[in-house]
Amino acid sequence: MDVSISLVIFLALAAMAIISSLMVVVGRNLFNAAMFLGAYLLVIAGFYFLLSAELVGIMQVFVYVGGVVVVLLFGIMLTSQMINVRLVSALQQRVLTLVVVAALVGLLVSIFSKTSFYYISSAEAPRDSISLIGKLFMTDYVLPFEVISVLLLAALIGAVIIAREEGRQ
Amino acid sequence: MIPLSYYLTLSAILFGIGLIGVLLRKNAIAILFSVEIMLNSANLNLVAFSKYITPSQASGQMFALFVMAIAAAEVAVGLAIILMIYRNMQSIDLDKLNIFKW
Repeated sequence: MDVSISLVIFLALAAMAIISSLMVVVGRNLFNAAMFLGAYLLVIAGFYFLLSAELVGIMQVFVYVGGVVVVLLFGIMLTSQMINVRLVSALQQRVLTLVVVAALVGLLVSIFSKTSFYYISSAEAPRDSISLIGKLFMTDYVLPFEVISVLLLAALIGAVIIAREEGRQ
Repeated sequence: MIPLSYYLTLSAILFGIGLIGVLLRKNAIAILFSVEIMLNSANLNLVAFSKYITPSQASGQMFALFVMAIAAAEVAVGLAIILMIYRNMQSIDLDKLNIFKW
């Protein structure tokens, strides 16, 4: 793709990502925050497509936008008294947080701008990255793959047991 | 190609926004939202490095997929814990969860 076109796409997506994540963090209404979180996750999926990581982008839409946001909406509705309650932190805490976060981000950005990345490869990404990832899952990464499946099963059972009402057989 | 540092800067900024949310929000579900923002910014970093450093091996994409699976498990368990807290205390204000303090 042409560099200037992809740069324009990058900057538009970056602006959308920053705005939607800010709306999640400062928004009053929790329901609106959930909607903006969905928008943020879709924008991140757009970045994955821009980086030619198609499978990761598709999984982002499936798992995050289709799964996590819906589960979080269930959580909001089940604790519905809290939707519009604005809980404000103390001023001291706010100022301290902003200073610390600004220092951290400033440090990271100054490091990134001063580092010259020697290892940048100019090789093209494989055209069929999905079959490459499928092969990697079954060869090099087969142990983490199996461990993840056990972890998901444990999380599933654990979530059911924790959320179940006690004393009802 | 877009310089790699653009992606790194963007994900640092998004991580900072998520960190502000984790530190300042008091609603437990809003804190889960902010954790999701931070996880996604880290994932963006992984995929960007995968594209720029090892485009033919896709190892960063594998890590991003694993992070995604763990994040889904984390949301399920975290939400179950929050529901349990809400049922016991009728509130998900984390500042009220200080019964361990003495």
